[in-house]
Amino acid sequence: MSRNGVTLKFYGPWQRAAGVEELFMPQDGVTTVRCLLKKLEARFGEEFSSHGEGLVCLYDSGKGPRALDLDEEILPGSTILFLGIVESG
Amino acid sequence: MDGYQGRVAMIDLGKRRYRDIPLDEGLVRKYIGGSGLGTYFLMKFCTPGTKPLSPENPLIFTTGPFQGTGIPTSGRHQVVTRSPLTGVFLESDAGGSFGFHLKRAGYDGLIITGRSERPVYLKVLDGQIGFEDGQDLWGLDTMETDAMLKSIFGEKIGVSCIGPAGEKQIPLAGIFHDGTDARAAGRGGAGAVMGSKNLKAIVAGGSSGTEVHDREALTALISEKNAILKEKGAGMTLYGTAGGMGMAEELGDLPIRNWKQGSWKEEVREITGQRMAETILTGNYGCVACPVRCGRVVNIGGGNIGGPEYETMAMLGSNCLVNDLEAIARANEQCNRLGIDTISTGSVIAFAMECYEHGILTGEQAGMPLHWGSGEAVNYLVTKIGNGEGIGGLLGMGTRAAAQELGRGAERFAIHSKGLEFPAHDPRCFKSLAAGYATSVRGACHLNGYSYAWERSATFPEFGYPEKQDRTADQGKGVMNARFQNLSSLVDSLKICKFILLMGVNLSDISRWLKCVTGWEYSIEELEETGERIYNMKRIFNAALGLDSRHDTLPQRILEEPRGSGGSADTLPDLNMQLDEYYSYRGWSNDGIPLKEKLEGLGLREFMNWIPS
Ligand code: SF4
Repeated sequence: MSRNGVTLKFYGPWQRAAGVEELFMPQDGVTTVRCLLKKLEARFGEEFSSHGEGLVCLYDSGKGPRALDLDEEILPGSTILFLGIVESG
Repeated sequence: MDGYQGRVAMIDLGKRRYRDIPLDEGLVRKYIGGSGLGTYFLMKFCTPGTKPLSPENPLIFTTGPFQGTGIPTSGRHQVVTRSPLTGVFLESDAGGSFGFHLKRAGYDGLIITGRSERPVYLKVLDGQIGFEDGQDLWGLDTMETDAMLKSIFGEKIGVSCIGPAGEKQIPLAGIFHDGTDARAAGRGGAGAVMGSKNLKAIVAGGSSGTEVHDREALTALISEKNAILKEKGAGMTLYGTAGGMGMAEELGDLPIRNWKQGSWKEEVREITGQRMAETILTGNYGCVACPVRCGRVVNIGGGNIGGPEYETMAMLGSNCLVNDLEAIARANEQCNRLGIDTISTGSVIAFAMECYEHGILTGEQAGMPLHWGSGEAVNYLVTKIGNGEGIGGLLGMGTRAAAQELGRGAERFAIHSKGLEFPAHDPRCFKSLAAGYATSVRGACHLNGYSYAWERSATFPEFGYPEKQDRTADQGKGVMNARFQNLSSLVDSLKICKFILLMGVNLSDISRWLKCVTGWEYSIEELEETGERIYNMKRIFNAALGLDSRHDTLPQRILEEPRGSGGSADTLPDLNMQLDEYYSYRGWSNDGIPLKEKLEGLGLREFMNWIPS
């Protein structure tokens, strides 16, 4: 039985701060990046939000990634990527 | 032979004839393709006395066994020759689609020698090679050339061509692919070599697929890995490599004011990939078989066109103190049209600006004032360099030659190693780049070893690097360089993109892919040894030209002048310490020459006579 919520995937400095690669966050209604960060700070410490370059994006395996604003609505069932560093080549 | 077309073409432009050289399994198992096979043929068809712009200098295009199989990022090819900019070994890795079409044409590579009397272009179509009159193309820029050839042959071809800079044999000229979605074999002047042969372009295409040993298993591996790469590469999909500008500035990696300034915090925000996405970005594109698609498409008033990547943004931007995104995008477009390397061009422009600041170069000589931060001056110089006009004639020779010509202390502003301008990463920030740039076989190059990525964020447990490496330490960086140079040589021979090593592709993946494609079993150790063999072969080429440890050095600014502020304010690399460690690990003499036992162990006996006695 699938649960309502969002899947969070952490990369680079976010992953080191969280200590896990992936986290399922139960969530009945819509949420935002700002709300998610608050919950993550409560769980991993207040410093959590300062990791990475602030790049958080919504990921759809068909359409690819889309960057999210802090207050954009996120629907249950979404996958959110916390990307730490953009490779500069 | 699965994974290969089993032949390369040996083309003589002077005599307008060609012959096929069959590839036997023993040879390709040893050198794989791309960089390895290209270097092997360079050493077979060139002598230490062959001059870079002479008809005898081979210009070699090679693909790899993964090309045409769908393996992620396998749509790349290698260009190998002797460089007119540095005078030493040159290889250049290019993305886009040309390599894919070359293999579809039925060839694993082309070895081009001779000089056509008149401008010519080559048709490599379905196993046949033709010599066509190139007079109508001569003078066209790279995008016009691509468009004209596609109007003749249709869209299902790949075009490799030079612009006006290559025609004029300007040492900063590269070879360009894919028209407006420019992908270049940019560094070291391969475009000038092509121009010296009067060869304007190569058109390739056909319907020869790549035979694969175990298609079913390979398809499963590819789809599994593509899903991972799409996620892990999402930052690059969204922002391109220029998305790393902010982090580069923060760490003290970004070149600023010709490598003299440590930080530029506020200004850099205007020229990041993130800023590009908010302003001029209209889309993205990728090389064949790449799920990441890091290429940028921008609109700067004249329609959609390829946008600047990190290296370009840094070298034409921050290194010249220019933070005008549109000015950089215009300069990038001009470089691509004229066919010059954006890295070396940005470097030589910053050099000229510093010479101007110190009165070594006057506004009258330059044709206009060369103030730091002037996007107008950058665009003016790009046009001059690409056309070989006025001051561009001097600057187009590269920083080393331009500094020698100008004299009066200009040499201290020329930031290069072995004559190749630094790319946009600083050895004072990532220490491994010190030995990396100094020993790089083509001159200063971040991709020759790509070690710094493992000092910045990545880990590689399977390769013995389970933790991110300390970027401020010198210890261990000699060994690290040698190993990552071997790895890069392997990857450049398979012809896949190095970025995927940061996104979850391991050596065991490569070994599995190779088995599925060719049927060959390679252990991780054998893969590394193959890279080592190929790297040593390149070093032998340079040794035969008289290069040794005295040439493995860096500019005084990088060795002795700290950045002064920012994320790497007061650190300097200890190059000598790194080099001692490096030569010893490599099994080379203290002079940096590969020892006979090492070469024998690597199966390179046939090239021992290249080593100076
Ligand atoms: S990641 Fe970028 S450079 Fe590498 S293969 Fe993909 S599109 Fe090309």
